[in-house]
Amino acid sequence: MMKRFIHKGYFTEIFRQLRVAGIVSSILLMLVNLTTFISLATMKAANAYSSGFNAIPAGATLASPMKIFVYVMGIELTFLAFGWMNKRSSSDFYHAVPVTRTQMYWSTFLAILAWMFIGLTAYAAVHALLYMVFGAPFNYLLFLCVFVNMLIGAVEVSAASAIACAISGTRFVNLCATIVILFAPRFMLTVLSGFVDIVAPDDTLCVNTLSILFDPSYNIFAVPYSSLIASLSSIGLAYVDYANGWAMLYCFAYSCILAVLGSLAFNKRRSEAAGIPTTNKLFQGVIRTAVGLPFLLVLVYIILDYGEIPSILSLVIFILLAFVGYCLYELISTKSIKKTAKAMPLFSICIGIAALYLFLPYLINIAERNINVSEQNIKGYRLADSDREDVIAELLSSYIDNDSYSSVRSKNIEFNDPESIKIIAAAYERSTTRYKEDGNMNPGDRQMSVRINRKHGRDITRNLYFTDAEYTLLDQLRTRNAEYADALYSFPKGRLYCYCGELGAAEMKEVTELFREEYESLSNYDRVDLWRNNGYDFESLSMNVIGCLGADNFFNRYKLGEKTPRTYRRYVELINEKNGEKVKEGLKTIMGWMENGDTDIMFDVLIGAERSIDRWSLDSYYSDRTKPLKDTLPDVYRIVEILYSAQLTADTSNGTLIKVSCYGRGAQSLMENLFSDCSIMLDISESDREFIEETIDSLYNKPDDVIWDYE
Amino acid sequence: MITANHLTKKFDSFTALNELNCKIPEGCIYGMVGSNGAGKSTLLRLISGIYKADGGSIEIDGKDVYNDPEVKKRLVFVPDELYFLPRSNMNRMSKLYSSVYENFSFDKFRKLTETFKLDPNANIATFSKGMRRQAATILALSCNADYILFDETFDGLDPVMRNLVKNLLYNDVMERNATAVITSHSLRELEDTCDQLSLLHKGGIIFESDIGNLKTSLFKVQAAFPDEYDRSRFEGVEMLSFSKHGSVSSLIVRGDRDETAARIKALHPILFEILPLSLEEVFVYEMDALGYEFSEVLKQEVE
Repeated sequence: MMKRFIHKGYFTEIFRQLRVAGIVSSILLMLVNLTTFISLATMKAANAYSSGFNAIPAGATLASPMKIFVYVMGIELTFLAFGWMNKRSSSDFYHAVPVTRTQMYWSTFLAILAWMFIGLTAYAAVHALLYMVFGAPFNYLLFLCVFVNMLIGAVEVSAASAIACAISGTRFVNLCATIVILFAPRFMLTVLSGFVDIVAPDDTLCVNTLSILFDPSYNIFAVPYSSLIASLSSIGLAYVDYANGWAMLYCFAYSCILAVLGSLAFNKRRSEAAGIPTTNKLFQGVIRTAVGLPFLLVLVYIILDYGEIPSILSLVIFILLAFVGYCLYELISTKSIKKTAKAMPLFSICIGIAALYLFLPYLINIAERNINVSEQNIKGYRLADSDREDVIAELLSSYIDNDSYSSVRSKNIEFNDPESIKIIAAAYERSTTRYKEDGNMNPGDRQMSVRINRKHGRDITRNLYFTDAEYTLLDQLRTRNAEYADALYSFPKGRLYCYCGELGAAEMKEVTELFREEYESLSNYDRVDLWRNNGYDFESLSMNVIGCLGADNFFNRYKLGEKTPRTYRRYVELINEKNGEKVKEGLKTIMGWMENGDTDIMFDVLIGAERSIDRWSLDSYYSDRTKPLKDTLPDVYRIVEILYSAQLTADTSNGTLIKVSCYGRGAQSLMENLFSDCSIMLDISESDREFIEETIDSLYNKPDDVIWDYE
Repeated sequence: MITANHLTKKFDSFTALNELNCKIPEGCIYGMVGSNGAGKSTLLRLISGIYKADGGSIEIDGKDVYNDPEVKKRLVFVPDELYFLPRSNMNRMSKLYSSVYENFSFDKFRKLTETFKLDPNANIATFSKGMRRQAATILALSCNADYILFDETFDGLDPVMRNLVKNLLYNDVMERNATAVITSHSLRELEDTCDQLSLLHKGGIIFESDIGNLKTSLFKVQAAFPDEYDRSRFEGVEMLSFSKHGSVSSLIVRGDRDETAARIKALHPILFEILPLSLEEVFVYEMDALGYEFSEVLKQEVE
């Protein structure tokens, strides 16, 4: 059986042919690990005076380098391995060798995958090992899921490229065909889902949950553009769940289908097609249609978005543009007027698809509206994770995980008490009908995404609007569920990494234990209050806890304040001890600059939660540098003087927390003893505090503008 | 045996081979000659399973070649446009050949590279056109295939190398009973090499024959008689051509040489001589007999 598909000798030969590209690309991928090593080593070195490791890499971050590898090498290795089809001499040679087409295709495909597997495995193993060696927070299960996704992606990209090679005969057309095969189907579905969202009468539909065809997790390697579509239609499609087993299965099946299609196309391929751009009439038709269609889809978008048919002139212009593009492609690619004329009637296919895109969104909406979500038909509901869109993480590969411990733990908990079901049914009814009546929701309504498990029919996810009373009641009802309550109120369990910006690992251990003790002594209400709706709040410092549950990462930020007084006090003692001298020295440097005039010293001083003085602002407001700032703005100088002369204190109820950054510009950046974001607590008298507040407010005259708002 | 039955191959609107029939027996050197576009290369590509026939069949020992590795194993093809892996040397290419041709002999490969004085470690891209053809020939012969197909074999080879290649071919045919199929647009090139020869024109074989028979069955007779005479004097002799200058006539005769000599001697000529024909002359007369203009069929040759 195996011999029917794989020719050992041929596999070895192609594997050998790809070795240079395979080794070089694997080494390049491995270089990413070098940057990881440097980054981890730097963080580890910083661990003595700051927490260092402060995030668990998210799925998107883990995937990024491997994803690029899969895209680039999937295409490059496939083009190298099947590139002989583009040249007559090589095409003749390979078509003459005593190996069946089936064996030739699958042996080549296996050789490509083998190199990609080697590259990915080597990278992944070293990557995981680095995190292990440095003891840095890492979600190994998530990484395994990402790795499996990448292997599946390798099959998908290689298969799409192999089909492209089999149906076209030049490198350029190979590449175009690969892009079309890889992205076009999902792109068309994404556009459709965007249109469904546009024509939806309200925003209850979570479009990407309507079908796996609209869910980008179900084809990770076909959605790098989804954020662009998302920005058009206001739906978030960039969130990719790398741990979705069904999505992996779907992608694998899809990739296998592509691979089999590649085999069929390869078997059909004739040697004489070498060097001819496209020999496949169907594919030529697809490309032609793809060239003409965008103009028509823009027209459809305009019609759907404005809800009316544009002027006849606009219609004619768009249709004409589509037709010209369609014909021009045919003319350029075939260089035959006869063939172009022959293809003209087939433009009706473009029109047909556009018409489908015009009506299908409405039909989908009608179908979704007709779903029975009555109280009798609801079995239960779960909290949906539509707010887990790490669009930014996907785009910037940054370390972002927004899920809290409780949302990760409770995502699969189903609530099915009759009272909750009644509220959900009522909210559904109101959310889908009130828009028609009032045109909008009440200002006080609160939105929540829920996954409704219906007794008959599939589960649906909807953004529902609740009154404040309903929302609160639903919240309370959920807490009756022991598992949910535990998720909500308990301090995270498992492998945790806790950090407060300025504490080292040893100090952090002490603070964490103290915090845990205080946390567990609090009421449920206070516990939740410590982390829920908790943006950055300077005065009440925060303690961050990151960890992972299964393949999910979570991040909780707990306030350090009056509810945890011992922890707060201890924290202040530690930072005063650690930063006191340094910050005082910094303040002295700032005073020196103010006295002597312009130097390249930069600074900013955050005083309390709401006020700050920083050189950028001072420079832009007071640009007369001929005089020292002490003379121009004596009150500002006075503020720094007050801060410099104030005593350190750990009295958290009366002290004022300041955060100082003092750094150089240009050559000065090389100076020693500069620092950033170092906090201390100072004992500032009431009158001095008032002076500071008044001076800063009057200085900027627009206090709202200079409030440090991290939210 | 290679058998082509009503073999047709088209490229869009151009018919490269049209209902071609031929049989190439085992253990011979079979030459195919024809002008550019006659269909020689297409026929070789069909025999080697590179192209799929649009009509008819091409079989080796009764088995269809296309996509049958068992049959393809017995074939090796050296095309007119040679292929080598980028930046490869002959050793690397030998690995490629050995990975797909089970009978590839590294011993033979080594001997042949020594014979041709080619450096197996040198980059083939640095080879001259003739050296590249030598390299391809060495690799093909090392495969020990039953059928060796050469397209424009001697193109780019100097006379010494041509003879060397010819001798190697003879050895393979003699020792292993291999069959070599060679194409050329030059009749002279194939004259002293092939056992059988066919002439391709416009996608069909217009003439096919054993070279030995061809040369012996067609010959030139010069005869003179003391009296006035015309071609009727030679009644009973199969003449392809007759010309007379004064009393001396020249005849191109097809038939048994001794029988013809006896028949003409019985007419008591004052001059009688039988002269051998070159292969080219044979072809000219045979074509003429078939109604073709030889210079049209083998343009290159004449030019």
